[in-house]
Amino acid sequence: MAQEFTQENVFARVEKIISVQVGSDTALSPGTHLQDDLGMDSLELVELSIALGNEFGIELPDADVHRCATLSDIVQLVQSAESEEKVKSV
Amino acid sequence: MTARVVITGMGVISPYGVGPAILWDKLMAGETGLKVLTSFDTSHIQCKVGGQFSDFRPESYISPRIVRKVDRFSTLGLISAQQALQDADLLLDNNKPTWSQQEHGGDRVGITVGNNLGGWEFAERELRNLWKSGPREVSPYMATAWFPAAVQGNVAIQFGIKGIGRTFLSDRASGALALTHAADCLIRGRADIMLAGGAEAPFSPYAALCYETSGFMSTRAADGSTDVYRPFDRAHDGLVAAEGAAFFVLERAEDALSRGAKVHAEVAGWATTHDGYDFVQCAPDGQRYAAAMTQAMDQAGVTAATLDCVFAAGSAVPDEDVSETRAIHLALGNEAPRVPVSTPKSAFGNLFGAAMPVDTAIALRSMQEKVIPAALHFDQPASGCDLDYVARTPRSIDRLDTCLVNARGIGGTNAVVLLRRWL
Repeated sequence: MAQEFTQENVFARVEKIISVQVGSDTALSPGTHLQDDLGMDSLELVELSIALGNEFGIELPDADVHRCATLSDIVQLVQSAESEEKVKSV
Repeated sequence: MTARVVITGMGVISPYGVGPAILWDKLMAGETGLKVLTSFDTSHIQCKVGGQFSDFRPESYISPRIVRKVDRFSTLGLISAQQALQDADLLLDNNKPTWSQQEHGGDRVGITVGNNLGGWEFAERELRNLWKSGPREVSPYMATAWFPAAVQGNVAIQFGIKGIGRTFLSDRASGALALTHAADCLIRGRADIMLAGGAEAPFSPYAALCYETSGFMSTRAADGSTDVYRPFDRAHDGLVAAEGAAFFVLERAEDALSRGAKVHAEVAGWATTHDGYDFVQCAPDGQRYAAAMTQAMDQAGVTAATLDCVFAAGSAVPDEDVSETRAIHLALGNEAPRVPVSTPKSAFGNLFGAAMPVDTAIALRSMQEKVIPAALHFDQPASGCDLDYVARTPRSIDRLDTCLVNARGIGGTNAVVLLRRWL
């Protein structure tokens, strides 16, 4: 896995995106719940999907992002999408 | 016995700033709220001045997380609605409404909103993104930000309002229709609390073009003069736009009194009519406009002899000024020359969908102070305009217990509210 797609690296970048989105100064954790803890609504999840696509250069279907409950789920989604992209490009 | 409707909360944002106090103070000081428009390129329009709230800092009032997802007109609406609820003592310390603590508490709370243009500032930015960079670069919030009912939706979500919701789009009568419908809902028992008002943010290239092409905007404002909004004045030549919002909490008097609410005034009568005359022009004879005034007074049991003031729609469109003058004559008969006519919007512009709600906010304070604000820009009455227009300086009067607040939209959509001091 490329250096930029390690779990730590992806989490840090996802955390930064979401912090800006929700206007939070407090640290987020892998277990932070997108809806229950951060109150993210459906449109914020669409915005997150777009932002993740731009940040990581991958295409993430909105529906897949909507299925994620926590930051950890998002990190896993990004990592698996990156792996699939890599397979396709081989 | 028919229930009585009262106003128990008020929030207003005008070109002068946030809150009713600054609006009143600036009007009393005779300060103009009009300035050369600088927030967008005005080279394509003639009316280059307006009532723009230049140093608006919405993040001081609501979360930046909300501000970035909505258009300016929703921001204006959200803040003024929040202030109305605070004023009505219906917000808790955490800015949640009191009904949020009750199961199904928001079910009997409704909202009505007047707006004309929607959220074109947001929409124009996102359309540029679409054309320049493609659909993935369009904000997902476009879906909920641009359309005129966005204020209704945003305020309802923010404050857990789950009863009746309506948005009225009828040009400069939109906000008045929101207030009259709210009063109707209370009288008919369809809600216990109504949040009603209007919001408008007309300063973006396309929105400005929309109102410019109506042909109703002042052309004298092309040189940047700020004394151009002149209702009923000999030099009247059309509208000058302004931005802002005003919201009110309306309740049945018995409910308001039982919860110990303070009462600003009674909404004692209201009526709406249509000229049924033309798509754009108001009927010159003013008959249907007069009918709205008469019906509102009849409902309140107020006669022309006991009417203390009229806040006129005062568009400054020459034909409309003459028609409104005729309508006031028809409604008030021999008393018409006696009744002072106020058009404070002369100082800060016409807020279109929020015009009448802002007038209502001023009228409430006017009744409290027994002072009628003046038309800042008025020298000599126009031909066909022969009422007692309060001009240049505010006027103190001994009795200001009843006040008609008029609104008239394009093509003659007429809406009138009669306010009465609550004794």
